Amino acid sequence: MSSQYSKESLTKKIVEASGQNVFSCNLCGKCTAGCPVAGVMDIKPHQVVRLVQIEPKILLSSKAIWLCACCLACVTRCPKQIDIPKLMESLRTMILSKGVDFLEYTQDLLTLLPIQAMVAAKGRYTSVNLPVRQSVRLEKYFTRERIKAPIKGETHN
Amino acid sequence: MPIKAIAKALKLDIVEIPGICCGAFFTTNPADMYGAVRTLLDARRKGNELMTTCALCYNVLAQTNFTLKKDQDKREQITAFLGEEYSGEVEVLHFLQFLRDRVGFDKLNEHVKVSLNGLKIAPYYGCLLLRPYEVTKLDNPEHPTIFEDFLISIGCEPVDFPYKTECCGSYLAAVSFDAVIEHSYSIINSALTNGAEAITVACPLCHFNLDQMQERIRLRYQELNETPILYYTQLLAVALGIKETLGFDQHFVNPYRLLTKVLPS
Repeated sequence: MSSQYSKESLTKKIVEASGQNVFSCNLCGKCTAGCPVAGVMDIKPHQVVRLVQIEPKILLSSKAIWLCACCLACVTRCPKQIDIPKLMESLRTMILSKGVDFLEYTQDLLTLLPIQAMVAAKGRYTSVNLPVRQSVRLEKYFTRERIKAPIKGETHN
Repeated sequence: MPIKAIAKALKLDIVEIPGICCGAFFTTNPADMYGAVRTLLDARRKGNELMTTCALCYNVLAQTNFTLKKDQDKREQITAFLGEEYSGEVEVLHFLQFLRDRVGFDKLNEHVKVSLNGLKIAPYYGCLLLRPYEVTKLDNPEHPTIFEDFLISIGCEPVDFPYKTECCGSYLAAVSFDAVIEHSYSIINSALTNGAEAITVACPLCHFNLDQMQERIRLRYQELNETPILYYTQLLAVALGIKETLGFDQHFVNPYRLLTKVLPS
């Protein structure tokens, strides 16, 4: 996937899609200091901004873009108001638009997650709809009794 | 839902609208905004303000509103799809904001029937109520006080703790349990070390991460005490003396152990 873009064009694409001026970054690291998931990220938020400037291809295969919870703590604290979640979102969209799904609904997840988390995660991690075949918990929504379409020729009494 | 009973007890002038799912999380993609815009259109037919109790809905609706006010392209795209123009006229309010600005916490205090005196509650804001500040303008994004004022007005003792505006990980449980467990642990632990007996939340995903995931957190951190997680509306309903079922039976950590102190038997 990453081979489709040259370095400059990918940086330009991310900047355009997110509308963020990544070149104004001070690299102060306030975003990483306040990030709740920086501990489990392979590339830290301030490094993401720097990598968008110099080597954006690495980001397309990173875990960090999928771990951002969009809590916006970094945006609130950034002295340059760079919206890092938007950068992450534009990178995710770039991958998802190829029809790839990042999320796999395991049995464990389906019985655990509340519907709000499912809807939010679906919007973030999948390019298409919920995998109906696998969704055990959502089955009741799909198998509920539907209004039957009137059969041709049948008359209503 | 206790909100209808609360509205009745406080004699609030509110109308329920049909509305559909707002999408649970805001994205800049207009295709994800249709649900929120349809809800806002429903609201516009009934009035000019939309009040919601959920932090997720509040955030999505407010951000959609804000985006459509400013972004001509997205507005045109959505108008073309829905066949009705919407440009952010409806004001989106969170229930806490509604209680502060329209009802007033002093007035609210006069309606309190059950004393919650002595309950030490940690107000956990999470992220969606406060951020982004230029959109929600609910309170200071780093040092908010609206939840504390609310808790004082219904007779609880608010506990200040450093993690009150930190993110709990929201839907991240879908991809990484580690991130959620570590962060929810820090939040609960921080509230407990500051002397809280329970944590109150405004967001269904905060509730999931702190309440339902607590079992998994306590597997890793066995020294952590069981901490009841309550919705602010449940606390308010208890304070107003509402007898309806408040959904405590659906919690994962038993809140009755704490509430028997204050609930009239």
